[in-house]
Amino acid sequence: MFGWAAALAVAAAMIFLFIKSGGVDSRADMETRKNLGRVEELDALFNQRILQLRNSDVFNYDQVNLLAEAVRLHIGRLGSGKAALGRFGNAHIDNALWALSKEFTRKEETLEEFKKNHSSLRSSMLYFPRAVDKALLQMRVGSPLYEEVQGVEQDLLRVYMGNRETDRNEVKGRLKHLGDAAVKLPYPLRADLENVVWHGEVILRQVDSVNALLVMLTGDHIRNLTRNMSLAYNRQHDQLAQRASTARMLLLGIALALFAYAVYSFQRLRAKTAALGEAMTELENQKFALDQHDIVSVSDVAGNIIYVNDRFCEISGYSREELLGQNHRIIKSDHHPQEYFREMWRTIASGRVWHGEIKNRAKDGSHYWVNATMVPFLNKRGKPYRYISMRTDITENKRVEEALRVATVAAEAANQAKSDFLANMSHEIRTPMNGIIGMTDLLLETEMNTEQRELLGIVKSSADGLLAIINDILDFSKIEAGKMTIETIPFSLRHCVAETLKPLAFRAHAKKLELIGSIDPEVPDALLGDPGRVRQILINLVGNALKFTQHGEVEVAVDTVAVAGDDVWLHFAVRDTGIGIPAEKQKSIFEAFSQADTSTTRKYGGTGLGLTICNRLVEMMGGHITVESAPEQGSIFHFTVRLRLNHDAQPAMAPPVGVEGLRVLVVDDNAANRKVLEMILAHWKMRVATADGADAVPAMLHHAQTDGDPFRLLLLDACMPGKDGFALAAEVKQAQGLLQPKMVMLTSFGQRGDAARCREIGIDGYLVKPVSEFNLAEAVLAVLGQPDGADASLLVTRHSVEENLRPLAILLAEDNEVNQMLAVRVLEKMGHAVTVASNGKEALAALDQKNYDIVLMDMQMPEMDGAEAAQAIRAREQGSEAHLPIIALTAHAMSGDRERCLAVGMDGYVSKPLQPTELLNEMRRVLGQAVPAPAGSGVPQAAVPVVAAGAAASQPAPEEAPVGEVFAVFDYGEALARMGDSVELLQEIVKMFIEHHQQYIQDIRDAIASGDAYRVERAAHTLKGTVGNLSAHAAFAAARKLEQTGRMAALDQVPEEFAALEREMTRLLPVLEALLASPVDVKAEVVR
Amino acid sequence: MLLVVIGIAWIWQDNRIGEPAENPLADMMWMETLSSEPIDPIPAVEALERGKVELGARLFHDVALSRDGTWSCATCHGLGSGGTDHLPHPVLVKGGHGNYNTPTVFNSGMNYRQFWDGRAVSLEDQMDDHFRKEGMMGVGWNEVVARLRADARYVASFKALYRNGVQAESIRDAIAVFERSLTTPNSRFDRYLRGDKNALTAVERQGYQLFKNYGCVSCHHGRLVGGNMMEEIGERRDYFKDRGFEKDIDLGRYNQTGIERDKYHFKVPGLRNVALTAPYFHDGSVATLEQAVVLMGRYQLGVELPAEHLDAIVAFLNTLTGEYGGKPL
Repeated sequence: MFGWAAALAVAAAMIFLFIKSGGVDSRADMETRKNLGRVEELDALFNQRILQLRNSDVFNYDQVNLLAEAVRLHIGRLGSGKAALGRFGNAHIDNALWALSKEFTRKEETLEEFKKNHSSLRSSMLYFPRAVDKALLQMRVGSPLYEEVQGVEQDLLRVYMGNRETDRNEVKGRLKHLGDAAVKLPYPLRADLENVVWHGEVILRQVDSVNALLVMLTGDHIRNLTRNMSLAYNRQHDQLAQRASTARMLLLGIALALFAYAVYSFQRLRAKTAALGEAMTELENQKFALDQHDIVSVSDVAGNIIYVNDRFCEISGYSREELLGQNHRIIKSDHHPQEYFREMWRTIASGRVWHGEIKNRAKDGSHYWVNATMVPFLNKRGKPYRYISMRTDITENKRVEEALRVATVAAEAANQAKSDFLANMSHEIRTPMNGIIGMTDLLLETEMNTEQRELLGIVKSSADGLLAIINDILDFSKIEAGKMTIETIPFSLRHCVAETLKPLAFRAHAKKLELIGSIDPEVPDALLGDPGRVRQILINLVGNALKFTQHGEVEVAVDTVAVAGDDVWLHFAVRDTGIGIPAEKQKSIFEAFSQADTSTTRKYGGTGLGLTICNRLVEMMGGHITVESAPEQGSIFHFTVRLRLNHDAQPAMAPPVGVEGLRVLVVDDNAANRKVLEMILAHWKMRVATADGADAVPAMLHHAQTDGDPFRLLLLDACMPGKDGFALAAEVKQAQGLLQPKMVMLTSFGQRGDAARCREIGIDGYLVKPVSEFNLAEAVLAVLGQPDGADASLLVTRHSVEENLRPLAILLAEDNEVNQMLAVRVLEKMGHAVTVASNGKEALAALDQKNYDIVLMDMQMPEMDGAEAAQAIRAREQGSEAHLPIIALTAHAMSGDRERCLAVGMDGYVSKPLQPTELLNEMRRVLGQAVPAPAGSGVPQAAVPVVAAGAAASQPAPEEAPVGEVFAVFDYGEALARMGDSVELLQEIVKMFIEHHQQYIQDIRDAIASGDAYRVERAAHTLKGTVGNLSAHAAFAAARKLEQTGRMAALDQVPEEFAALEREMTRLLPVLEALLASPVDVKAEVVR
Repeated sequence: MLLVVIGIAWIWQDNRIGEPAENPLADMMWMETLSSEPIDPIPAVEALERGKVELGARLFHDVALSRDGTWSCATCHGLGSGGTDHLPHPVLVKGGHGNYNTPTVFNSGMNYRQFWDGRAVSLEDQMDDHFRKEGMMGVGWNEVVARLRADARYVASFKALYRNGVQAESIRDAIAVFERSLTTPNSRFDRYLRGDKNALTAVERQGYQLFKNYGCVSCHHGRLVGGNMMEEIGERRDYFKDRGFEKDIDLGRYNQTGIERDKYHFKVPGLRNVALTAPYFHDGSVATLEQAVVLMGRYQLGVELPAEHLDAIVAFLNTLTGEYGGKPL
């Protein structure tokens, strides 16, 4: 395309130049010059003839007419003769020619005038003498009239001859006189005399007119204009000639360039031809080589064979003659479905290469397999015009492959059977195990003598050990069978870790080990992942750590490795101060059936599968597990897992409200513990001081008080070398003049009687380590909210924090009597009322009788199983608002159970054997989501009707707050939900806020007075956090605005915004006070 | 390809210069010895291209050149009838009569203008005037060209003579060339002028003398004894007032120019073969030559010619009849 355009452009350029190089056509040029010369020449002649006419040297107009015609003709030719200069004649020439032809037209008109006057003059001049003679003949010679006529004749002749001295007027007068005289004369003299007068007057009139016209006619206008035209013509002619010469040079240049290009092209063509020849030879060789190895055929687009090689003939059993011209279908077997070949044709017809295996039929009916590659040869338009097929014989491979496939299927089936057997066996074993363990637990609660208790304790620990081994084996077999799946469900990381460590703490404390859980406050809490598996890994690693550690501590630390989008990688480190692992063993400990030493197994027990399972689970969660260890120093197991952020969850536990800035003293001999507590408390923005022993504490308390900044809270480790926590607490309590801080005891061992001691001494709360952030927050808030000198029975413990599930009416559907009994006992111990149904039908019947808060549903029951029953319950609820929470109880340890349960409309899932904590957690979770929340909190904020929030509605909103957004003064439901539905806690917090709000306002006022924008921001921020936790939205918005203003350092706006904030506070306080007086009134609705 | 393009360009360039039609006038160094007589003899027939004359003659007599195929140029300008139709007004192809009296075609090439009102400067122009839809012939050139192209003989003839074959231009040229060949030399008066004093009788010689003396010759002079200028009818007395009837055509040249002083101006007609071209005047209103001479003397010169003068002048005018094709008209 481009090449043609270029060629055309060159051709056009050459034509253009060629035309230009033609320059001035010499013939036409000569003609033009001749015409120009002739115009001038003829005009001169014309002028001459005119003069001759006037002088009566010429007697007719033939010649002037012919000359005029000739001049006109030549001027016309000049017009058409412009062609001499081609189309490139210019305006100068045109103008000159136009002027010339116009002038000549004028001249011709003048000529006409001249001829008319001249002929008139001449006619009179011819006849005048005769008229005179005729008149004179009738007159007397010598008479005055006679004389006068003669005189007039003389005068007129003189005038005619050009005499200018003769007075025209005088002659005219005399003629008039003659005319007057004639009137009196007799006819015919009168007529003759009048004739003389008439002719005389004509002569007199015309002679000057003719002379004037003569001057006009014989001027040199035409000559000058002709010369002008010549000049313009010459100029243009020279220019054209110059241009033509340039064009010739350019043309020559292009011609030479073309010649050079032709020579170059020819040379290149020769080289290409040679290369082509070589390529052809090469191609022949390659074809030869191909033919030696492959079965080759070539077909046209319709699939008709136009070439086959020897190997094709050989394997197909056809001769070449039989094949050529035939369609490829000749060797087609019926093995492949039509679609297979259609797909092949689609592929190659669209110009792509097709690979595949084809079973073909030879002439003798036998079959052979080929691995075929079909390549379409494409024409210039990209359409195939030929297909080449290359095949290799894979008949033998196919046979082997088939044999292999059959063997594999058999092996897989066997493996599946083994897997299923193992899983089923585990279930079968776990059911009786459930009974053994559960019953042992219940038995241990009864009264029995020491020996019995001891024996039963051994039964219990043996059963636990056996269950652990079975679980390990089951997990391992599942992993090996590839049936272990990782779930993705929402969970709270902190909760998960705390719940994991809780049971392990007992083991730790029994060995006098510190068990520390340390979660970086920056680690996100609401996550999606498999908490069960995380927990399993932690139990395993912490269990090992506890097992191999005789002294010191075990710490579980969690921090964030990376966050990318929704993905978050967490790093867990389980550190102990145990016996450690020798370097040479570290590599193999994650392999199956290996412990550091088989002797270890003997000494410490265990299947040796734990770490292997951990390793696999970690890998399945996208992480790695590693170990660093020094013998006798301890070990650290690191593992990472990939989890996802759960945006749908309620925000992770917010730092407790109202504790910012409070001074707190942590007393613990264990550095790791101190560090964990300090980290948590600092995260809450408390001001933390630490002490590693009791001795320095009283002095610190006194100092702080002296400095005017007393400690408000004391966290005490119960067990410290030297003076323990209890002793210290007692000392503090008795210290004179000391402003009493609130005290929380942290005890490692949870021994019975600790609580009693605490109450005795007057300690405000106590918690069993390891302390989770959540527990600590609840305890600290509760303790700080207590009025000084409150009833000592209000001891805050983890127990009281936890057991906030109200007594429930529970329907238990379970056919196994042992399990029935176990579950009933566990639940009743928690204070719930349990009704038992033996199958789904009974359960449905029970539901008809009475309303229940929750149903615990065994999945496998006779008559009607759990799934069926759940579906029936959901079907009944169809169309109503009711939703009865259902938790599945299942012995199915295989994955997918959860999904199955949820699919039939159940809300939760607990696997057997029942673990009370697990059941409790799941119930709490399910009820939390299913029990209708107090009015207001379930309604999305945006849908809350807008009613006046005072100032906020009538004032122009700042740019960040949406215009017209109106905030509730106080949202009871939301606030209550935030307090875990504890009215008491909410009241405590509210009370605390009412006590302190003046201080908050004063802080802000002081900050404003100081003119320090940053201080304003901080003070406003503090108040904002506080009212935010109370769900006092209007005050929150006002404080936030003030905070932002402070951040922008726009101090001029501060007073106005502070006023707005104060107004909101004024509106808020009565509502909160009403809440304290009578929660029920406030509860009814969201206060706006 | 390049060669083809260049070849085409070459031919095109060669073609674009038309050959200048050689007009005999251009090289006409015809200036004979200046004679002292106001009238010159008709010069020898110019060397005209024989083929064109013949083709022109064929066209001149071809009825295909009129609207309904019944008329030719010769219908009005019959060569056997003095080159005119002897009618006061021509009968038109489209019906009705034309306005002006038909002038003779003989020697018409020597007129300095064509038509009574002088509206055409050449024979070619004059033909364009005829070959219009509303013209004398009632057909336009396009139609004429189309008709001739349908005639193989014409196509062949034109092709032989003209590069572009049958075109309005070539038709015009052929007819014009033929018309230029229609001269009538060798009249008795011309023989007299050339020195044969006995070619005229005494009366005729006297007539010539009177023609000069009365001043007729001041307008009627040159080769054609006229045809050299425009002049007003009624120079001396108001002809149209006396005649008492005025038509559009009486305004003459004024009809062309619209200039007041051109009113009643007509081309001075040539008097060659005048004895054969009755009736006379622009509107053919004068039946005899005698009457025409009388009127001319009265209105142009202001004289009432005596009878013997009139006879002599008419006798002189009769000597202006020449020969065509070697035979007296």
